[in-house]
Amino acid sequence: MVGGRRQGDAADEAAEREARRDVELVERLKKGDSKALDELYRRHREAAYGIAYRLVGSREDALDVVQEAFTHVMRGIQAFRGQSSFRTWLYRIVTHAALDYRRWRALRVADSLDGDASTGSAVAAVDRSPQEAAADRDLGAAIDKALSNISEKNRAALVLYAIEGMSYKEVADVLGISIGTVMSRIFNARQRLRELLATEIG
Amino acid sequence: MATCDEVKPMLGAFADKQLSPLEADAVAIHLEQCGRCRQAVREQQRVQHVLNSFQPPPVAEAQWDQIGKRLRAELEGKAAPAKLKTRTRIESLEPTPMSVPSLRSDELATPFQRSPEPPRPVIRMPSTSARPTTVTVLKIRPQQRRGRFAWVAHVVGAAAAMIIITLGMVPAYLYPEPAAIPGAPATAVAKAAPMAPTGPIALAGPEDVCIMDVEMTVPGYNLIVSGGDADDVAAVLVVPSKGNG
Repeated sequence: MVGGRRQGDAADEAAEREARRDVELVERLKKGDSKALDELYRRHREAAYGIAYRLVGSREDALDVVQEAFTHVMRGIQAFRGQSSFRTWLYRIVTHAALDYRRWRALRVADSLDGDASTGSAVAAVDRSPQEAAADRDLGAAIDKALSNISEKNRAALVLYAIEGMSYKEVADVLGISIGTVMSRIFNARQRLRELLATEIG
Repeated sequence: MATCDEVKPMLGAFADKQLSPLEADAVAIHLEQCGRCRQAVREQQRVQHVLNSFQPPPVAEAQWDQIGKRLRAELEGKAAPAKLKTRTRIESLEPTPMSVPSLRSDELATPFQRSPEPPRPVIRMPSTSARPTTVTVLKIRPQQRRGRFAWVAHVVGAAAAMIIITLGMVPAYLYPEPAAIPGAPATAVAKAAPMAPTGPIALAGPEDVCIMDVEMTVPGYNLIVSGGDADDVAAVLVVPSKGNG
């Protein structure tokens, strides 16, 4: 129990250190320091990509979203007042950008009938055995498809929670909703996924 | 013991260990007795496990670098600003600790069009010296709900307004105004009006009060139509503009 508390305290301290570092980098970025931008980008790009990928369902599109989100950050950094953590702010921008991107993409595909977006799972197969890749591809495709079939609001809450270290409270902050709403959205999203993935997860 | 309906919203959070100790205890006690909710918790955990095990495909370092270079080039002014596919109003995306705005479905549809909520206007009664002949009731709050029978509220409101106005005009015929003020439009005397303004009255108040979108010309009267919400007209207030005359 004591050990668990110590671990929790250590995690909190680490999170605080990370947040403080973000604050320093944000201040430097506000003055136009490109190295600060580099570091912020390196620190948060994976998490931003994780959110974007699960919301747009394709690696290339997710990378596009990450670039758009960091461009928004760069252009809007002067407006960031530090009332929330940089991480929360960034995730909010990524979430909005991803949802916006999906609509943009849907319109574009509808216009040009250009539906050739490669799925991330297919690209990921490069570093794995054929069997693993095939299994991943199947499960990944099924999850992608299932996620795209749950409502935008529920999906966003679930995706944000699925990101490592994101609590319900943080999801609530990012989406601007109450924790109670986060609870129900995540619960409903997983119930729906359970129905949609009945074959895959048994 | 809590019922299924009471614990159901918390089952997902229970599976994720996101409840407070008190809430978790209440759910745990319920689960000891309820197999159906236990099954729901197991399913939540199972789906979460599958989601956790499925990571997004990795990205090559070269691709990360490419994006990083583009961002840096724009920041340093070495590249023209990229044309973005998404729009944003950065300042509206920073949650504040004091009040966290809720993302409504219409906002999700156009997430970057969101503007800060305008200050709530206060409808004030005109001073007794003013003689407006046009009463404009401003919509101070957008209608949140448009039910199938929203039009009924408008019809009822209009009918109620007409009845009250008619009743208010009868005494004006019986007791005509002794002298009209030169230059002022013809007005009805307010003797039968239920109340006369004695000063500014602020109507903007609780969240659920909205002033309906009504514009009406009533000589000598201020007409204020207020409603509980878009479906429910709560009151029609007719106040003479002339004061106690």
